[in-house]
Amino acid sequence: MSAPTAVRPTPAAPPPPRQGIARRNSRDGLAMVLPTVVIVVAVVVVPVLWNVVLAFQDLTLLEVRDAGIFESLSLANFTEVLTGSGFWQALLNTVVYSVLSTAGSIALGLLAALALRRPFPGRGAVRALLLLPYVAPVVAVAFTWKTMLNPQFGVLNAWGTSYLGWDEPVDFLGRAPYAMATVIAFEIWRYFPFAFMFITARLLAVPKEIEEAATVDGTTLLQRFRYVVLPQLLPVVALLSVLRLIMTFNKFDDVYLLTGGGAGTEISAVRVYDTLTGRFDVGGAAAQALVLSAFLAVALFCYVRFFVRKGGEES
Amino acid sequence: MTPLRHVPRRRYRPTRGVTGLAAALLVATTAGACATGPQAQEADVLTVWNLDGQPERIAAMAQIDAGFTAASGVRIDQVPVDEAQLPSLIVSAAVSGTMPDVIAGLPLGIVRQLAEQELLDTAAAAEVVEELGADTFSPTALELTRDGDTQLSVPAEVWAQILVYRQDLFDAAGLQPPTTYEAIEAAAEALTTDGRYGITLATDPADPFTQQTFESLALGNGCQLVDADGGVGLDDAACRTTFTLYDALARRYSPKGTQTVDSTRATYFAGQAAMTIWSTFLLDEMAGLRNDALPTCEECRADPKWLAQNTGIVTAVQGPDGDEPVSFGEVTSWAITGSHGPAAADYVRHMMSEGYTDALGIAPEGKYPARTGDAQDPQRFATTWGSLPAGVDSREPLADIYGKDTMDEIGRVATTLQRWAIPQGQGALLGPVTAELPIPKTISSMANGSLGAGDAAAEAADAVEEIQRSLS
Repeated sequence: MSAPTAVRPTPAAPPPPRQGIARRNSRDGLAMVLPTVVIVVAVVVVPVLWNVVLAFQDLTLLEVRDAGIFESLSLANFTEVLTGSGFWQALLNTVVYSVLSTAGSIALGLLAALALRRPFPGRGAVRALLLLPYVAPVVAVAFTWKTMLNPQFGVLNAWGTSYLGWDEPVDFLGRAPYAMATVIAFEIWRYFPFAFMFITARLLAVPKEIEEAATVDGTTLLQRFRYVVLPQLLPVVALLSVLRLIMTFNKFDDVYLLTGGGAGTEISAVRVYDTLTGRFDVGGAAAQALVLSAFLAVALFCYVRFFVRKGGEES
Repeated sequence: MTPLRHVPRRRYRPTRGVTGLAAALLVATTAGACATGPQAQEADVLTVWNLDGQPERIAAMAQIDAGFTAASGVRIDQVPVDEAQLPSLIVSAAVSGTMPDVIAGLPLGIVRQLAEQELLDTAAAAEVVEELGADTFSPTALELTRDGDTQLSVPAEVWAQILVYRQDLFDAAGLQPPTTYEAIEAAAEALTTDGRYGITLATDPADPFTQQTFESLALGNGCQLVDADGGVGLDDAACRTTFTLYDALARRYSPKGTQTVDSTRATYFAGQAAMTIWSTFLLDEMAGLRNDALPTCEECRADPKWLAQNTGIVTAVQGPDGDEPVSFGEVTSWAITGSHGPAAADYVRHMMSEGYTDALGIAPEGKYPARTGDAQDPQRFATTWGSLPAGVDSREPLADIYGKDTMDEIGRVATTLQRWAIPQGQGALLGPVTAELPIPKTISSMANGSLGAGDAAAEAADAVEEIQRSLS
């Protein structure tokens, strides 16, 4: 940020005029980044640091307002979080939920992108329609899903029992294994357009020549996909995996709106919310959030360490 | 996420709908950065969060408030608040210093929780009760809103959880009234026929109503959330018996699928179930006094009161391990918060004396007076309550429909009702247990067959034990 000359003045001789300009330049630079720094500190750094402090304190709601930063620090919140069975179950649920819905949404997005690769009349309209789940308000679509999946008056159960021969309606959001599958399906449906956009953009840049050459060599469609197109898409798929995994790991609203965390779908984000609003346990909620981000950090570190570097060496 | 009608009027950032920890912490940051300590309130405005937030009830409250404003010059700001939203609103209000002066219609569990967080001015509540005369209140209601010697809130109204059953079907089949586990199960079995279920019971995993239904059955069998030595009692023999009964009723003699607070009422109103457990708020609707929830059974078409006239009401149930039949109900309170303005106590006193009859009249079926009378006439409010007209679209005193004896019996619940955890001094458990719903979740799994009754009891006990540990 600041030029080294500015912090190491030479006391013996008066500075040459060039240094004065450099100093002014560095001051201008500081002035320009300052607004950004202030905003980032206020919006990101302070809340995160405060979350860290809260995780080490056991405060009532009123005390949160007045407590000093280093007041009565202890590890009690963490021992409580880490020894409770609920936390680990929620963490397992979160991992299952985020890994499966990330993989599913990318696979579906890849499929959709490939299907719409060749131009056909109305492709623009179909593309726009595919984006709908991603842009529609989550409260509205969650309500729609809930209504359609209702065991008593939902359209899916009505079809299932009358055409597919189900013995009785399935409680998709209220019964243990189905509920998790349903929220994962919801997440895949909602976020495949995200993957679709990324992959479509990358597909536009794939050169035609290699594929044409491969066609001349007599390869099948699947071989061309496996050996020509897919390798070129891998970096963007890897990037998508990381992005989606982080976002889904911290996802709160979808599950909360669909099941409220019931029927075996209690993911960590919902649990953090319950700890805060149900138990008014500020410290416990902060500690859980902190442990979660630690897990996420470790996962990200592994990704960067083992995948990004390898990818970089290959290309 | 959910639109909130609540707009704080003070100088800090409005909390526009808290969607989670991040938002709550952010609000906390902005508020915490610029102020410390409880906020001084404006002297001439009182903010009241009202949990009885239906528009017509808020409008009725505003009319009652007008009397207080005329006398004192203090304007009352009624804010309707949804009970499910209350905890998250409390969190953001408490940390940002925008707590209301008074909260109306607060259930016992949340009273304990707010007291635990030191958000209540218990001295002010005690003073109001003292001035009104502690002997004018139902002793049970006072006991339930008291923690040792501390009066946490001012008890205002009582509703009871009742078991309603089809008198005509019971008579035709020669069945005993469903006052014991044995009689309930026998009747449910006998009356489950083609086109009709013996009973319909809440199995919704996401609604405290399921827990209330369970507790109303559990208490009569001596099944306690917390037993005498302070441990969680849900896994005891008594509770296992209740879980087993609930399992049998919900799986064998009830409609399939998740039953909610609305579906149980609708099923009973349609004549498709012979019994259901509901709160007394059902009574006016069952008598055809509310057009958007009319009874829909065959016979009701000709006579909207038919169902009410053919319904029996049980207020207390006894189990095989219980000593006596026990009633369950809820006492709602006026809570004066720790950051109240000078007029808060006066307002609550007004609402418990001059404005009391009108407030009870808003929905008498679910508002039995916790303060039965005043110094002149110790039964004044209880007597008036019996003649208050209930209903929305047409209004009629419930005693004319259900008979005076039945209504007296419902009134008696205010002195006989029991509750989990409070007598054992662990009322602080109730808030988290209501918010995290461990019992409704296991009941739901049990009802759809994915969990046996014994496992359900064990799982619910585990979840409550974890809450208990985190509170200690």
